[in-house]
Amino acid sequence: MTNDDLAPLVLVVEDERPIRRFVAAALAAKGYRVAEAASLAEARAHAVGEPPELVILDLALPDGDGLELVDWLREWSTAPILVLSARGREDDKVAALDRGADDYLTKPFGVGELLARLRVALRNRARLAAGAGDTTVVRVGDLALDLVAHRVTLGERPVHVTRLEFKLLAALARHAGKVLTHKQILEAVWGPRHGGDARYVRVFVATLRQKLEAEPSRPRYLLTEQGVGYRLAER
Amino acid sequence: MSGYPLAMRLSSSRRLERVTSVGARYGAAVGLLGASSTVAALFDRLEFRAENLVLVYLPAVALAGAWLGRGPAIFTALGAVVAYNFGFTEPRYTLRVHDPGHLVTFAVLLGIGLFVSDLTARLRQRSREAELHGARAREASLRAEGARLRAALTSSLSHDLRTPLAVITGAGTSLVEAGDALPDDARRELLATIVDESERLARIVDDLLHLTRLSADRPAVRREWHVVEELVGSALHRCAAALAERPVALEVPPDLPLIAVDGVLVELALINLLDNAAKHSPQETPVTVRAEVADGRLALTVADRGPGVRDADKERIFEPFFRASSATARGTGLGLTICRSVAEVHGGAVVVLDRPGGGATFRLVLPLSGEPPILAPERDLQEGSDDER
Repeated sequence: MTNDDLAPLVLVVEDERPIRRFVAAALAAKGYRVAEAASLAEARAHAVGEPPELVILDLALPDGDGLELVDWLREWSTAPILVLSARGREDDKVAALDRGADDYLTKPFGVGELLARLRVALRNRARLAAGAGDTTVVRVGDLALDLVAHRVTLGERPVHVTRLEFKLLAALARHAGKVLTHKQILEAVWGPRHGGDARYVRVFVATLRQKLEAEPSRPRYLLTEQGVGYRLAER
Repeated sequence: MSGYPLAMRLSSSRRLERVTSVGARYGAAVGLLGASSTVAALFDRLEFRAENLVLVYLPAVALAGAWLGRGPAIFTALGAVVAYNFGFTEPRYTLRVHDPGHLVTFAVLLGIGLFVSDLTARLRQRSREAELHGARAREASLRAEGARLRAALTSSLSHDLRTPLAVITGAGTSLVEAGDALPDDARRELLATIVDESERLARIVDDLLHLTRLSADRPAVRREWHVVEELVGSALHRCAAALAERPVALEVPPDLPLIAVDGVLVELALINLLDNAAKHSPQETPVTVRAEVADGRLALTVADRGPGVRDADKERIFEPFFRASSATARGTGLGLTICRSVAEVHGGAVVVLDRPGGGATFRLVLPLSGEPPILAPERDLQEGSDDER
């Protein structure tokens, strides 16, 4: 039995019933199928029973830390994970993203925000699953990244970037709209034994901004998420 | 010493007197007498007249009265009398009183001893009372000040939290009560109001949390090396909605040194300054953001072309919940307070200045400490291949 003709299944893991109910209602209204879990144990049971296409996960659960579920899921699933937290601290966000979550929402959030991030996460995942070769040129506004020819152009004008700078742009482009943490960037550009930290990434991005941005102190393409990392604007 | 109970502080000095034993004090009296006698003997050698020598014992008696208490003061007075009689009056080295005038001298010495010790005791008691009184008064005044501040904050907070809640409750219950009878546009309006007021409440809660964290005894400040240009850029991005279409002039040179700050906090401070500028100046007027380094400090200024800030309000605008005009009833009243807290937690400051040509310039100054590292990521970091993963 294939799920192709069924609407995508979203697993909502949240112990606060009113939040779980309004998220489920919003998802159902948009045509998604929803499975609800109020604890880690329930979530695992549901996920194994029918693997979800996307998981919305609250970090504070009665029987443990939501991050454990991220780890557990990432062992066998590539389904996007949206993490919900009431604490709103950057540390939580970075921890979740570094462990494989796709995005992060701070309570209180509106349904519009949730649905927007859900769409971005599903679209990115679909793009990655289809194979990197499918999109050879990534365009954001006037910026064009030719991933095959390793060329960067702004409008008509070619922009000279170093090999490593291109690697950064490519990594961000692969996840356009999504934030990459400092750690993820260091690993994507330099590999696992980079020996660097956030300040190196900041300096690196600053240099690249000087090349790419019309106004480096008001960037259009390379956006900062303070305390977390960077992302490439979507459009 | 703050928090050390007042009563305990005072009684400890009394305890000191008790600890200094009786023996020690009388011993000290003997010491004073010995010293005075030595000086007197010296003057005697120098052929001073006997009547003048007695004056040498005066300081001893007075000091004994001041430092050693009543008993030792009497002892010293008597001792002085005996020593003077024995050593310096005729007949020498006897205790016989030859000249009745000496009796008067003796009485005077004794009297002085008693008088000084009494006076000193009374003075000490009065000063203790005054200190107690003063300390109590200070504590009372501090408590009153704290209570006043709490009352003001509670009253503002109560109002600012309850008002949106009241709106939400009212709108929500109206929706429930009226049910289907409510016309569509009325329903939409109530729903929109609920969303708006919830967002307002969320902003107030956020601001309060920020302030609470910044007011902690040891606020969590994570200093890392940051690029100034980036701090400005990320704040501008977060304020995009507030700044909307208005012109933003940027004067941020590209070669500023790295600065060791908490990026999240400095971004927060800048966001509040930008929001403030947007709220207080007409839509079409420009906001200017400038970064400059001078005297070992980084100055970030946000300037607007609004009505400016009156001299009387220039300090008050940084107080919690202060609103210069009813126009900013939409704000939380905490933005500038947060900004100042961020500045202070970094050892810096924020002030508002008049702007030539009209408007206000908010100047956030952060100290530049230490040498910023020279970072060259392409050179310094190790590249490894992906297959090693």
